[in-house]
Amino acid sequence: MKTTLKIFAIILVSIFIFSCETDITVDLPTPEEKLIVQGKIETGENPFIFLSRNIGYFEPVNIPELDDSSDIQEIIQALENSMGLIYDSTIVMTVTDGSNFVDTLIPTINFFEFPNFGYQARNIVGQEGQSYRLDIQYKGKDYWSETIIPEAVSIDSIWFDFNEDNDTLGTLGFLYMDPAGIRNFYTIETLVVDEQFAYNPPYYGSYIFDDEQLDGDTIRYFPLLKSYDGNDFFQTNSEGQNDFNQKAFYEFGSTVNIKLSSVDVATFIFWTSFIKHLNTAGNPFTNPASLKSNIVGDNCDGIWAGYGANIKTVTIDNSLVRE
Amino acid sequence: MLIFFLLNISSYAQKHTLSGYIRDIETGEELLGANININEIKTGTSTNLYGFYSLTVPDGTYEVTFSFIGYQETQKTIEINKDVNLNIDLKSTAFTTGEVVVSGERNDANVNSSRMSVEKIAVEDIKKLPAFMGEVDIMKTIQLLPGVQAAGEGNTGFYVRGGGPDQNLILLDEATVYNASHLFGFFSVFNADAIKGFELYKGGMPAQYGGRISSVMDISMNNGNMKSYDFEGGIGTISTRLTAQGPIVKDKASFLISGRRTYIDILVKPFVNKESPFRNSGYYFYDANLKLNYKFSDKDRIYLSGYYGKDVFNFSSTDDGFGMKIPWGNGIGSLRWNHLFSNKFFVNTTLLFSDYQFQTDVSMGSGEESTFRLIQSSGIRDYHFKQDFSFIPSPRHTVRFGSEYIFHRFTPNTLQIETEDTEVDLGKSQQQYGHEAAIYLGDDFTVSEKLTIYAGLRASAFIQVGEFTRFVKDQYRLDNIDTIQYASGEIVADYYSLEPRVNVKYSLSPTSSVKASYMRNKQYIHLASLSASTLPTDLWVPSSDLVKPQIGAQYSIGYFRNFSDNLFETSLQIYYKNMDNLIEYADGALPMDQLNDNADNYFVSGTGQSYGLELFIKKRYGNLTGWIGYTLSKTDRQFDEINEGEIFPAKYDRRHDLSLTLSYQINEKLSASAVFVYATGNTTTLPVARYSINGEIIEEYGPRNSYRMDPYHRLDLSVTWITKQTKNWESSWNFSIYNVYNRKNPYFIYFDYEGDASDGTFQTSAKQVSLFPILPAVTWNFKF
Repeated sequence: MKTTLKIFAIILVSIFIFSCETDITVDLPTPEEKLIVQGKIETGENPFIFLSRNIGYFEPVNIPELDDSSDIQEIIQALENSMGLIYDSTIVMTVTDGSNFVDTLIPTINFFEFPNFGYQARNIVGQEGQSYRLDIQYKGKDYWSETIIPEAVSIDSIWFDFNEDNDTLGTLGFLYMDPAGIRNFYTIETLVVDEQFAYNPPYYGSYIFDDEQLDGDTIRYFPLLKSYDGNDFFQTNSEGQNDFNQKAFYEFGSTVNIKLSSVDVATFIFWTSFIKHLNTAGNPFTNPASLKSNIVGDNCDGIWAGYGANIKTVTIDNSLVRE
Repeated sequence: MLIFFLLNISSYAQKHTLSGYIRDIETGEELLGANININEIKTGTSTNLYGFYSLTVPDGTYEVTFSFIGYQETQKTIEINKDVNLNIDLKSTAFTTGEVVVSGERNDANVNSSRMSVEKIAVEDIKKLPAFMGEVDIMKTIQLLPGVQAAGEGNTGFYVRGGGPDQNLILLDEATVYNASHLFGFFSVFNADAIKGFELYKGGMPAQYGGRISSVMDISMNNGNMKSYDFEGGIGTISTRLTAQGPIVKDKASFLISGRRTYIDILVKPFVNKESPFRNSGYYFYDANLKLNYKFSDKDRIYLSGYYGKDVFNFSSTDDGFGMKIPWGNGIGSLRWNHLFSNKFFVNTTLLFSDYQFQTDVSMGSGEESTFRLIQSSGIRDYHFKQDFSFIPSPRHTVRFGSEYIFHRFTPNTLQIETEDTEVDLGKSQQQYGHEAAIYLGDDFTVSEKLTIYAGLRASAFIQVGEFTRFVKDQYRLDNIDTIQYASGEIVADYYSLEPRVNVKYSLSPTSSVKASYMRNKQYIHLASLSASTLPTDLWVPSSDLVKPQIGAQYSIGYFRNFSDNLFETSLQIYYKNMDNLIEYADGALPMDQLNDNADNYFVSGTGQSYGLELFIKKRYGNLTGWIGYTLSKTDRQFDEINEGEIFPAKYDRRHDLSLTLSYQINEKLSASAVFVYATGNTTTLPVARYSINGEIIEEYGPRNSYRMDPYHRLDLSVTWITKQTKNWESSWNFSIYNVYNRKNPYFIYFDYEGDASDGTFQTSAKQVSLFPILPAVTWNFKF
């Protein structure tokens, strides 16, 4: 349906070769400030949260590059201006676990996450089957959410397929048994050891999927592409297109971590709506889908998600290559 | 209602009835809305949709005047002391005077009739107006009337008084037309050469019409010349058309056949590189109208009408064997039998068929040996039976009663997958079936010379029946938590309703009146649109256990006044309308294939209201004719699950809407016309802010339809030049210019990103896309 609609949009515009485009100025109202929460708690890890706010639609975007000589304060300032980063030690933020233990999150620079400046709790460590409540006090308002870390499902086997006419690059695949009788939702992220610092969703393909049609069956996921660094979104003329191969495919010989995580239904709904949003936003022929957040509070968006993570590490060698 | 019948007790001593048909002397075609007047006793009537009239008067000898605009008036002295049957043939004046008349209505009909908010424009006049790309289109002309708005630039879809496009009942020879558009709405399915006339009810619709809550557009096809063969056609900028009509048996049976096809695809073909992988791609549409009628006697007549039209979009690439074919279209048929029981009692029995299908056919693999094929189809099919009685017990009453029954078959979306050796049909079980039925009674009652009341009541019912599977979703619309199976014929949901309609006219003077009307209607079928504009992908769905019937109630009041001996017709109307159980897709709903799912699981329902003021001034005759229509209106919607439950403007909410139409007869051979429209800009939803999640830009949209684009305005001009005109041959040229001053009207706005964020050059800019610049068109028309 969506593709049909898109095709129609293309036909509509292309048949009428007469159509023309003009640059206009639109007078958009100043938006109310919106708090954006991206929080997660993963098996064996401390909770980690990013906070940001919305910025005006026509505000310039300027993402500074982080290197050794950069002044941290300058970078934070630039990220605040361009991406709406909120990095403020006065914000009161806590995570409470099932046994009512309250842990406070403090500003932390984490080089394994993007955009590096978040908030971390030091005492609580994610455990499967546990639920966690997040509370935020920001500018006198309260925000909260609750999530659960579902039980992880482990990957049974992994294989590698060379790309056609190529003996160095290819894609991975894996299979696992979906637990029968339970509704399962999964996310998939990967990391190439010694090359990438953070786990990210694959370049193309599903990041989030479920067992609606395959409950209790063997689930095969392929082709699994390399993860997307997430850093070149604001590059419209990116060289990314040129070295697509390097970015999207795994190199024979490299070591890869595959992280299959179980998530709860709210997390699944959020990421599904996120994908729908990316597909519909900006298309003048559809009404844009909004994000279905699990954060409760006045004018906010985002997700507080528990990940029951299972990580498998493989080195791509001949034993993985399929016929 | 009963009161009217009781009042119908004869107070006159002896009365008899004068009745018959009024026809065109040249073609034998019945004239709709022709007048019969007896001045001595200040009484009169007009012919119905079949050209039939009936007038009951006290015995006596009268001078009876038969007239129809564009025809020579005929007077006859008739002695009435028994029932008299008299058929009158009128002679067209078109060849002799060259006078242009905007409307085929009789003098003061707008003031004197109890009918309110009804519009008519003669097809001959429509043909003189500027035509978009040379295609004469009745749907574009009605958009120039107050209270009627175009669905978008160049679009034939229309909105009446703030109602949605699915709330208009479009009838072609009584059969429902579900998608009246070709080429994504830029052209309508109605070929003006095959059309005799139409009436558009914006409100106060009589009880014989039902099933839609906003308007009725009742279009009649030409019957075909009973006397001689006639050929008419044209070669236009984008299409060619030809109409042939004539007698099968003189004065007894006639036929009309009319066809049209676009030829961009054929014209382009020689210029496409034979090696191009896309050489088999193209787009075209065609349609054909057929009408046959047979007159058994003056009392019995049979009509058979048919329409078939199709749009085909083809895209194929021989490089990778990817092919896509998107055909869609309507097929319509009607068989009608007119029977006169007596000169006061008339019955019309109709069997109708209507079908709309939309398909997307995607195939992979080369040519015939496609390895994978996916066919997605949706549509609606109706089998319809109708019986309508007209009874004219006295000149003061015109009673209509009858019944109708429709069997609907909905195909919300079915999927068929063919691979090399297997064929999977995932669709059949998802069709939905509905029975719709109604009985009605209405009386147009002339209470006194000043007061006329129309009262009507329609009782309607809708029953959705199995075979049907209801998939019950959880709160997230994610998983099926239950399924309910309905066996074939089992009732899934049923709805019943009483729909009253009342119109009152009070004459203030012979040339002015005040009218008021009230109607309450139900609509059992809905159009679900995923897009912000009307597209052939839009889905017709029935009322079901989840979707309630739409309810519309409309109140209107108006002042009608004619000046200078009917030279100017004016009216001022005010209306208020509220609508309930409107449907929209839920936020983010993208139903894919209906597999283990129902389309209506993704709908949300809400209410709407609209109100407005319409001003209309028409100059009816003379060398310069035309009209000005102005509408001041507001329409909004409220859905609990959309826009956080806040009221928002409907996408076609327009504060001001002005149309100016002028035709000038320069001499017998040359006429010119102009159309100017101005409308407040359309609403749209734009992002107001953005933020980043997982490195992706999320666009934060402002309130639904809160942004208004620039106003829409446009001037079109045309000249019609009759190069040759004899009794046997007529040839003319029509030169049209669309959007004369090349106004860049907004079609949509989108945002573009440029530059790179890492070096500070990232920028967002707004772009407005306009569809049609100045577009000239030439059409050559002939007739012999």
